Amino acid sequence: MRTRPNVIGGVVAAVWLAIVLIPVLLMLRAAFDTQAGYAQNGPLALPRTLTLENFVAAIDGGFLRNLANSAIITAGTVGLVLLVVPPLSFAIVRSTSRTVANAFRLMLLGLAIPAQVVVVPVSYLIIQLGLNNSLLGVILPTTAFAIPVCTLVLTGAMRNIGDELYEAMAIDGASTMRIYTRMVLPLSKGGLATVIVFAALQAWNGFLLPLVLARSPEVTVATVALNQFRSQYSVNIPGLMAAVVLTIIPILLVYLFARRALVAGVMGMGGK
Amino acid sequence: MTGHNPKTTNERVSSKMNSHIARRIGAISVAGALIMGLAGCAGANSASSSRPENEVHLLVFNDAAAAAEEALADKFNETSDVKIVVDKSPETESVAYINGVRQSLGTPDAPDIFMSWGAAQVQDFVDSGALLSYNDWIGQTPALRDAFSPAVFDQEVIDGQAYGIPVRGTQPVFLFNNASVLAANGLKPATTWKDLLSQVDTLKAAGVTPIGLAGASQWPTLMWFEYVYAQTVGNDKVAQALAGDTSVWDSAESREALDMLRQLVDAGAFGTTFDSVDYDNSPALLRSGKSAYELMGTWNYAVQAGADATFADSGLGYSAFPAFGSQPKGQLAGNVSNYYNVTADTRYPDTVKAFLQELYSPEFVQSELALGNLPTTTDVGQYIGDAPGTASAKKFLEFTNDAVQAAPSFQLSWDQAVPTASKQGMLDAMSGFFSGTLDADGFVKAMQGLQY
Amino acid sequence: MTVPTRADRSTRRRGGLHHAGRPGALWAAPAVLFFTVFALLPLAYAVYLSFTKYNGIAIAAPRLVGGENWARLASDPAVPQALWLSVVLVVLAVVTQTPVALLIGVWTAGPQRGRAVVAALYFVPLLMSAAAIAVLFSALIDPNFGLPAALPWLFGDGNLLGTSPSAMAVVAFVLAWQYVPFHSLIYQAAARAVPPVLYQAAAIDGAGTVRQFFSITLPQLRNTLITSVILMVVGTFTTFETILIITNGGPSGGTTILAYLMYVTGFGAAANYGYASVIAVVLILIATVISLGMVRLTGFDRMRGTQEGI
Repeated sequence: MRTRPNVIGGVVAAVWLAIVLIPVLLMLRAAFDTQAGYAQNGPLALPRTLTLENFVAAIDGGFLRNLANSAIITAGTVGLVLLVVPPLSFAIVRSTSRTVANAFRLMLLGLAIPAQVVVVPVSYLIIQLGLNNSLLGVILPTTAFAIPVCTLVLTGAMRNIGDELYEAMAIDGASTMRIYTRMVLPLSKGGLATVIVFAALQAWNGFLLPLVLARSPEVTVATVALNQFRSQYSVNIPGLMAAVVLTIIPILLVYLFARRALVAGVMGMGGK
Repeated sequence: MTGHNPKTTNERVSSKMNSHIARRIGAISVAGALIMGLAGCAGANSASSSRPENEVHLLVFNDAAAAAEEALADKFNETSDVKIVVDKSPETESVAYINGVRQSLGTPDAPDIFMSWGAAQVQDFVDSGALLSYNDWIGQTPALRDAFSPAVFDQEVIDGQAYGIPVRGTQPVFLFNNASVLAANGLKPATTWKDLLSQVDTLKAAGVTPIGLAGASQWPTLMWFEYVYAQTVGNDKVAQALAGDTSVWDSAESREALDMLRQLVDAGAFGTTFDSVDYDNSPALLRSGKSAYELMGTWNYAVQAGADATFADSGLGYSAFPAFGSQPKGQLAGNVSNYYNVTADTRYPDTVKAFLQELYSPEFVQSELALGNLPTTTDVGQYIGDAPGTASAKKFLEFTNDAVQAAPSFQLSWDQAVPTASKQGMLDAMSGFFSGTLDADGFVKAMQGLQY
Repeated sequence: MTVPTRADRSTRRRGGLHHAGRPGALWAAPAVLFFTVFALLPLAYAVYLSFTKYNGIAIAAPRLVGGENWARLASDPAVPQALWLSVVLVVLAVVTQTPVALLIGVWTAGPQRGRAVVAALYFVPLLMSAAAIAVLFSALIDPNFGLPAALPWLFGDGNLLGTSPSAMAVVAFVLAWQYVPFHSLIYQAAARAVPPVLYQAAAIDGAGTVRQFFSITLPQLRNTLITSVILMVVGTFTTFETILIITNGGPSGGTTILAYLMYVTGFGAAANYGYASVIAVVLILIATVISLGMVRLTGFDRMRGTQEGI
């Protein structure tokens, strides 16, 4: 254990803390101010009156719909990912099939493809499938592009399960499916948490795919709606900031209630 | 061992791998062909059979001026079995709006009626056969064409086929001002270029940005070029240049225009931060008194009124662009009109035709006037005096109408007049000139390099 | 990664335990099919589109025009410029984010009590989407209604987006604000995993904090460093909403990186899906080369352990 304090690290940490917190505080301060007050006093002065009217205005304007759309896309993506990725990872770790080995190589290749570069043909495909302007049309490609990283992470987690455990299950006469559900999945909880966190963040924060594939107001997601608000609210900064705060609240709640899992999930993305 | 395969282990492994890979590729290709085939079938099912029943969809550009169109649809629905459903586009900018329509063509989401700003925007659509020509309907009901000013109607006649019915109104560009700021500095709205330049100095000294410019949005910068060129080069030559005569950009008059613009920018007329301001925020500059002038289209009146009705009533001033030069006075630039286009596969053409016939009805003309729009029907003049709306709105309409009637020429916004592929290049050249990264030669070269 | 060979199957004869829990290829099928249909096929289709003329009107199918779009690539100055801007942004990102994230990650890994609380505060940007962060900063840097108007001594004339270098710096700053917390968390986890015995041994030998950092911490974090930098490079290369919302690619294309150029070419005024696909293919090739190159260069695929000799 180091006994002398890490001064340089401490200074950098302090400075960066200020850099992180100041915009956040400004955002919160603006969100609770009145539009007139903000216009008069500028962004730095303390608000004379605290008000919730900006939040009410954003909700009245239909922002809850946008948040719900984001939530649906997130739930759909996470659900699909949890459906298809664990079996794939299990197969990669345990299967003797050459096909599966090639599938793993495919996934590694897929890591280099960000969703953006195929947004043009994906939009064409989605239009042809008749899924244009639907949430499903966003969920499907988002899931597809989350698969490589999730597979990689989960495969890493599942590799830690030793052969002897499999053999023990085999002695008890367990079938492959039973081994999967009774042993592999429970032992991969850490990896699964990371996968859920990654897929959820990808889906919740997604912008380009919903921008291109889900334009009409009923299916607009929160991130795209925020961008639209910039024109709508113009210099009504308090109104705009209230909308931004509203997009943070769902994740903040998850953070408060599941902090450990969330942090472990993010750390897990760095790999071991 | 009997049946022992004479091949070595490695060869067996690699040949098995090859056949696995081959099978894999085969499977992917089959899946791919299936998907594309299905997709093709899904797309080929003509959209009109999957269009909603008993509905005609109108996609309005959802800014302050959309209210009149919505009201018209409501009234029309009272007497129509097939209902007009108003969809409000989430896009706040013309390119994004048109591209939204573009992407939905051929799907059940496609609108039946949508809006455009000029022929260049819909050229693609016409080429793909996606738009309905109005020629047959005009044959049945000539008023569809004759009710409108011919110069305006002809903007969206392409190869002899009419594709657009004028709607909303004509939107020339004027020099708006904040009357209190001017008065506080003992100034009146500038009428000549020299006047404008000297006012710039006075306003700067008073700590006001003389002219607000949303440089980040780029098209407001275009407006300055449009007017200075109109009065040095003349709109006739400009039209030729936009049609492909690139020598105009290098002419003496063009260079003179560039010098004048350079002088204005260097005098600090637009402040120093215009490249960081976009049109979401620039009207607020004028409203709040941080700037004294803004060169903007007539829709700006509705925008200002929507944000601050008191300011629109008593604080917002407007005038024609400062005059100078030997070209005919009173030349205008801006949006000649908006137009309603109809998709070729619309399911209820009769309903659409009946709806379009309302666009020149006195009631609709009056509702547009109430919003501060100036319709381009030939008889609009007689309705202005009785238009509902505030006294200041009426005054603005009369000012606009007089200017339009008296204008020797009305140049369509340059970015609507060139092919869409050249729009960005042109705007970049203008922004570059204003911010100083391009000099006059650079600008001329850039403009000459565009496709027309 | 060991690829199962035919030899493994012979162990079946030896007793069957080894055969336990061996899923067949069918288990991999759903994910692979999904990925193929929605990622690989569009990828192949992007290559196909790059040889067509298509303006986004679904009823007028793409028309093959041979190498016309690719020929345009050779003479178009916008693409090399966009590539250059992408490289500049990536370098800026790595140079600003790595040292800060490293120092903060190592610092928050320390056992002192207060550090856990501070670490929780660092997490806040992670709660915000890229779009939300971009909207926040876009409002904050407005020259007339944001911070520059209130703090002229800090921001000068406030024309932060007026020149390409300045606008790029703004984008790089916002990206750092967004991603440093993420990377510092990764470093924090890795720093915690460094065996204390190494530090104890070094302390006995009389090494100070700085010496320990460079001789022990950094080498132990080697794999994490590589992962973090790879994620940073690929992530920065595909920055999108930050640029769309704050600079719109401006001034005059001054922040139009390759990914943004691709979007504007396809979904902007030009609506040139064919040429946009050309840019997409270029982007894919570069991303692949970068990933493979970095992995090869750093020996990452051999995954050298950092625990040898302990």
